[in-house]
Amino acid sequence: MTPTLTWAQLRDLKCAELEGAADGWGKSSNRADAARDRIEGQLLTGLRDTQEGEAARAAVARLRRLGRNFQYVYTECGLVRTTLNSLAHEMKTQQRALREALDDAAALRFTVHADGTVTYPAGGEGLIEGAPLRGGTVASSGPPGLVPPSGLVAPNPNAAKAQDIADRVTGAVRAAAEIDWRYAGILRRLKAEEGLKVPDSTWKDAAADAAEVRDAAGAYLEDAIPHDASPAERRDWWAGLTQEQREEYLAVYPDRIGNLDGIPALVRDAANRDNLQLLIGKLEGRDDERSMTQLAGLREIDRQLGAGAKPGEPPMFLLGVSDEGNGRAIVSFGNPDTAKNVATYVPGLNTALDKDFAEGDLKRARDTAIGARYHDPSSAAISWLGYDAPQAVDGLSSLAVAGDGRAVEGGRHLNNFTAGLAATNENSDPHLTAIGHSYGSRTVGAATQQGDGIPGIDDIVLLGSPGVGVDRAEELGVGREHVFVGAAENDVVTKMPSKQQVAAGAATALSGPFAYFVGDAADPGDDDLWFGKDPASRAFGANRFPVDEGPGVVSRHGLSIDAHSQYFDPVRDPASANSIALISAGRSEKVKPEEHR
Amino acid sequence: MIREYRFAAVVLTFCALSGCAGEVKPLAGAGRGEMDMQEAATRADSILDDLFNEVRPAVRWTHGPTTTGSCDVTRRRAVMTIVSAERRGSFLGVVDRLWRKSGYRMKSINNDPDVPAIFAETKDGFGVSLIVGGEGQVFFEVDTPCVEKSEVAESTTQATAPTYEGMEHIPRPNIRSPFWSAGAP
Repeated sequence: MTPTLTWAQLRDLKCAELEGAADGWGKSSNRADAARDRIEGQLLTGLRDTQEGEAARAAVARLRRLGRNFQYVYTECGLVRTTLNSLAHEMKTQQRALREALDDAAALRFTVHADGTVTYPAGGEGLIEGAPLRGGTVASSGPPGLVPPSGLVAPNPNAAKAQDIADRVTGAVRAAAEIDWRYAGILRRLKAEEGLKVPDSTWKDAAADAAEVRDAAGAYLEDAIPHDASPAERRDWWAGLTQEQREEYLAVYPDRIGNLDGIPALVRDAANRDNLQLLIGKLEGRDDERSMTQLAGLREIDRQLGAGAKPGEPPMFLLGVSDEGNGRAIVSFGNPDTAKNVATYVPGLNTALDKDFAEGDLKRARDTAIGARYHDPSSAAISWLGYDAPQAVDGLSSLAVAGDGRAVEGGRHLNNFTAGLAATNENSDPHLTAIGHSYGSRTVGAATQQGDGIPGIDDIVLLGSPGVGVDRAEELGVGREHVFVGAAENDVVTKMPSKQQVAAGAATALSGPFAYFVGDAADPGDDDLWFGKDPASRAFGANRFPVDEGPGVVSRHGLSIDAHSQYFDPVRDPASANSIALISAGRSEKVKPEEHR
Repeated sequence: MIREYRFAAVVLTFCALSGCAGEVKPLAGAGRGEMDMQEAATRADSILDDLFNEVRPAVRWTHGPTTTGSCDVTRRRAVMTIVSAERRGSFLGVVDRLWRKSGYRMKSINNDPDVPAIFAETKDGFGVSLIVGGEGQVFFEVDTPCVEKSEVAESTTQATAPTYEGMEHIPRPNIRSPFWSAGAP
């Protein structure tokens, strides 16, 4: 703090110099970013592809660390830049207030002294002689309103004006001193640990740094992020920013920009790679189960991002990540802005941001992208965990799975996401597919019933569906010939009886298989599931494709529910995976049909 | 696997409500032998090696990407020899016979003339697939069963076509064979 800050100093402060310094930090940040790209994109890939052995592995490890260093430098320099710009922004506001006060004083021929007091000339008329009242000098009275004016004497009218000016001058100087003190603290804390390592604790600090800078820079930057706009409007907003503005948003709000539908995929990916490190730093060291579970998932995603793509492998784009709720992760295999075909896979029951998701669900999307590219190289597939799927461990508020709430909420997010895909895709008529698995199919169903349906979606694939909330395929809004259903015979989720059947069964107070039998009487066609008509039934009217039967519910290993999660996984069913790949690639007419249930 | 296991709890809760019958035992050991993912990947490589060693006349191939899940591996190879539309049926016939001869179970077939596919399974539970994609390119995949988790290295089998290091897309077939490419433009 500069306790002796004077108004003359504030008046003469060159904010442009602060902004110049900010530019310098911005350039350093960009250079670090470019260096990281070079290391990860060229050096590491080259080493991995051409060298083997201990020395190569050591070199790869060192280069990865160097890459991390540059990433950290990029993040922190970006924060320093925005801090300085924000400081200049706030100082300019106070400087403007001061200048206006000084201009007023000059117009009135008042004198503003170095200590902030204001001398005013004689003026007005005395009560007794009519002579002008004497001039005088006033000091700031402190915060306005504290000293009520005395009504007993008619004052020199200049006195009140002088008082006002003195208050404004002193107020601006005080505010500037406070800003200076606040930013000095922030800048002092934007310091790195000694040494070359960038451990998680440093990233944790970086997360705190970003939070502090964004608090301070709120007035300067954030208000402009168009959270309430449509994805297409956000795309236009981003396109209209200068390069410098974009860099500042990326440095200070990687989480907002990274998860904002309508922002180009490359930008989201860049933001989320930083966001991922910040989240890992934030969750590191926490010992609650949720944090540890999410951390394991985030680390696995980080590992895959760092592994580098092999020949013929669709590159990975992190389109969303957050620790909100059960966690969020949106990962594309292939660039969804340049690919003509983009499939979005919506996972269901019991999916959360954890290691299982990062391994299994990401493999499904990666395999789908590879399989679609067999048929059309311009294809991408996305694993979209953009909502809180029901968790069986949510307890005996039982069958959260059977509630519509999460699907409706998730459907809203899904619609925003695909509107973003449609907005940023560079093809004139991209082919978009929504794939819902398990409860994810209910989410897709809910999305189709909001607004004008799922934006941009041409084909819908329903897998292991417990019903989608509508009774006929054409109600999904893409034409029944564009709705595809895969259901394994032994999948318990697709066999969950309808609410009607359960009610009828319970009412008879029987137990065992009899209850189900009685329940059947309430649904003679036996094609109602928990969320409505069985999508695999003739009455629903979708195209059904063959799916491996999978092990029975009670297999030789005991109760098995494996059949519920094998649709994508070529491990278990490459035939249905190829059907999904054909649909995703826009060649659904080649899918081999199967009889309805 | 945890996810699937948790799901059992839902079914049970549901059964408690609706009164369906069922018996629960732990999933322990299901599908897992002593094999780990690296060993399974090596086995997948040998399944593919056997195939390409026996296809006559020989076709040239390159490695496709390996993908790994929490307990399984998928190996891929792309055929770089041009297989013409008129030879496509012969090629499928050769592969079909080899797989049947090896005792593989045929699981399903897509008999579309442009993008046919054959899906089979070995006796030890490996999925083996032939998929014809765009421009008649033939792809092979081998999917392992769920096994013990381990790191998985790249295949050590030498590809017989270029490996396209650093390229996102493996090109369409570009090697001509007097037999397999007969009639191709």
